[in-house]
Amino acid sequence: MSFMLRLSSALSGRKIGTDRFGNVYFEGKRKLPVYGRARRWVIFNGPDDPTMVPPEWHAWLHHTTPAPLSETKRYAWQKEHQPNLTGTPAAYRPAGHDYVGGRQRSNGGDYEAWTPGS
Amino acid sequence: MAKVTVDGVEVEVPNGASVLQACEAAGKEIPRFCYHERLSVAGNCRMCLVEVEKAPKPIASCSYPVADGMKVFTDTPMVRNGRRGVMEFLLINHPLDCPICDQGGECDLQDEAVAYGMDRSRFQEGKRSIKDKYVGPLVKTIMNRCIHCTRCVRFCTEVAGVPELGATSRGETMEIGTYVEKALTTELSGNLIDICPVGALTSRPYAFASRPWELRKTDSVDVLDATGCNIRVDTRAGEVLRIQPRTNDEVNEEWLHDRGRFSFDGLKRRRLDRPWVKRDGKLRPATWAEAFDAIAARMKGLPGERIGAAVGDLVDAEAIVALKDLMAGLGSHNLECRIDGAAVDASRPDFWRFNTTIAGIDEADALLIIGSNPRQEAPVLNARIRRRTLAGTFPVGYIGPRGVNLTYGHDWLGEGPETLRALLDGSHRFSEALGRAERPMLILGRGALARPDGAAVLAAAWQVASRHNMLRPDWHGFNLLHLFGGQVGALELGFVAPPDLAPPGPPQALWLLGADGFDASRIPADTFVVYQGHHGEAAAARADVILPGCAYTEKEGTWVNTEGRVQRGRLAVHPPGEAREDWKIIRAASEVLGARLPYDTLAAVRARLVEVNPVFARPDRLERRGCEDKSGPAGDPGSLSDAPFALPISNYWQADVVSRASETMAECARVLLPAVPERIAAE
Repeated sequence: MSFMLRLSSALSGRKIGTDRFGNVYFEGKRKLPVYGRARRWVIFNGPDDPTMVPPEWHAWLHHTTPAPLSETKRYAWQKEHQPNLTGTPAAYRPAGHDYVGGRQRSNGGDYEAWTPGS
Repeated sequence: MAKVTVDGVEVEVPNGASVLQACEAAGKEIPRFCYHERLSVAGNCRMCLVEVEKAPKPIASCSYPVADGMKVFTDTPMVRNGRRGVMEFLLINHPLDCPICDQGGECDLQDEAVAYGMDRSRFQEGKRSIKDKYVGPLVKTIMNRCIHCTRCVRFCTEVAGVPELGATSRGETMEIGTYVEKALTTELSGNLIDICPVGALTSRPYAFASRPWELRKTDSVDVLDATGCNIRVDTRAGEVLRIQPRTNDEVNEEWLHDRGRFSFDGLKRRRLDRPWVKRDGKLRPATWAEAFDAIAARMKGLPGERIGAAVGDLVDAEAIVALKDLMAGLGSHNLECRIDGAAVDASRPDFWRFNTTIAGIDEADALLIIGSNPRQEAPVLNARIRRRTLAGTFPVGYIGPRGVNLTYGHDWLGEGPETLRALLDGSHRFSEALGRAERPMLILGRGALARPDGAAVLAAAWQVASRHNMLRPDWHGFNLLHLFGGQVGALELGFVAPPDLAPPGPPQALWLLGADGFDASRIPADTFVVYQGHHGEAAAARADVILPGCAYTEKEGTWVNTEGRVQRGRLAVHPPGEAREDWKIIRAASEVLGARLPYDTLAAVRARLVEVNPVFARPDRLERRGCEDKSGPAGDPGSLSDAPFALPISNYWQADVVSRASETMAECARVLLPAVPERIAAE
């Protein structure tokens, strides 16, 4: 977060909140004449990566909801938000990929072989 | 005949033909949605408009009869405007979901919209929306796409013989569906997908799987019933994605039964993909060399008469002839291809073929069915019988279990051989109907022969045919209906033991070629069993050595349908793992057993086929045969028992080894098999 960005954010907007990943969200002080609503923006905690925004704040950021949604986990099936890992060592790779051992299933996995007793 | 001029081309068509047929005869393509050659004419899509001289308005050519001297124009401004108007009306309520529609790329509406569609819509109002219907596990409906051509309704009513689909309401609110939500109970339901001109009825197992232009198409032949339907196997990346019928007017017209169409996912489950050898009482994975070593160690040097071989229901002729030659090289005569126990007389082709031929059903004028339910054993052939019953007087007598729904009216004569006896001495009432007929025919189910007195049933049926004038030089009315595609091929190649040569005791070695139905409990414990096949079942589990072979989509093979028609199947995908073509496996085994077979190429095996039986020289062709020799098969009709005939297939959906491995077919069986009737609580 550069100093200039922080300064301009503090001057032209007001801080709304910080999400659990440390991204800080701002809303402009005055409405934009074209849209009739204030601008909303985020200063990322780390490199600029829009996929860092969790869904609760994503909705607010895109003016889907007037106020940010609660960040508390509500359902057992809810998964923690994860930024896009493509291009990083943690990216998803299917089984048999060279980077995860490179050992493919012997039958290619596209059919199910018979074994005695099955 | 009427002379009609179509766009200046003069053609002659029979009186009563439609203008559309005249246009086709003149080589003009007329767009159509509701018209189908094999269904009745509905005339409700109005897409086939043409202009006729002196007619004030464009006419729907599919339902307009020709007249002599008529002048037809298929490409005038009036015709084009009319068709554009019709297309605009059709597209009013058709969703624009081509990008996610499974029919995309093979959709009649899409194709015609290219020619006659507007590039924008003038329709501002809301589109009609219809709830999707459930019509079973095979056909998926997206009823918004329906253009109400009613082809599906007519197919169900006319061809399949189950009037379960229909239209409710009218006009804007018209809906196609089963009146009460239920799964369609026909074995031909997959054809609804083919005849639907839009994406309203699509294949449920194929949903969102692929686009037609991504598929590699291989012409082949269906072996899962004995009709030998011509099919096209569509594959992508070594995987069968769907199977569709090919038109062959002499066999399947353009229909295909559901088991042949949808059971291909069984080709990916329970596959034998590597050799197995039993060591210390347990099957263990092995290499081909180890498997052949194990075979050589146990089979080499055994006396020929102590070796036996059996072939199953789906095996191709190449493998059968190779195994037969191998057994001959080893000195064995213990061959068997009738593992279901059917007492088929292998001494003369007349006794095991469908002699009338499938196309010949159209010419017959009386039919007697004995111990067979053709609706389940050969649904496509049954559709032809049904069409014959609709075409005119066609008495059908049926001997078999009571209450069987054949989809056409029939006269239930009795449950068992006592009716056969009555027909033999002519005292039965149906004898009169058969006697009046000029070309009567008889269909004997293979299941009726799979019983202790099977030979007597066969002899009795032959005598019934003989007595009722079915056996003539110009007409052969005796027909045996087999169950699976490989059964006739084995008989044509004579894969049976000579009748006078009984083996001197239980075999010490047994070679099972695709004989999944072989009763493993009949094999003595110390017999060495080689199982060669593509799916693992009980017989494979009993084996000492398992050799993985190819299923019917994975090899170049020859199959013979119930008529004796020789047809070629072609390789569509490669076999899984280490599996190999069956005749090559036998050829390799012959090397280690010291009885080397003299052929190394497919062409050489096929030359050998022709040597064994000349019918294999003429694939796809079949001559109609009369009956030259009326002497009957061995067997004494006097020894008929009184046990009623039982039907061989109780579960159409899981009748063979491929469909038993298929999840789609398991779902069909779950939904469609008649469940044990539940008792109503109030009782």
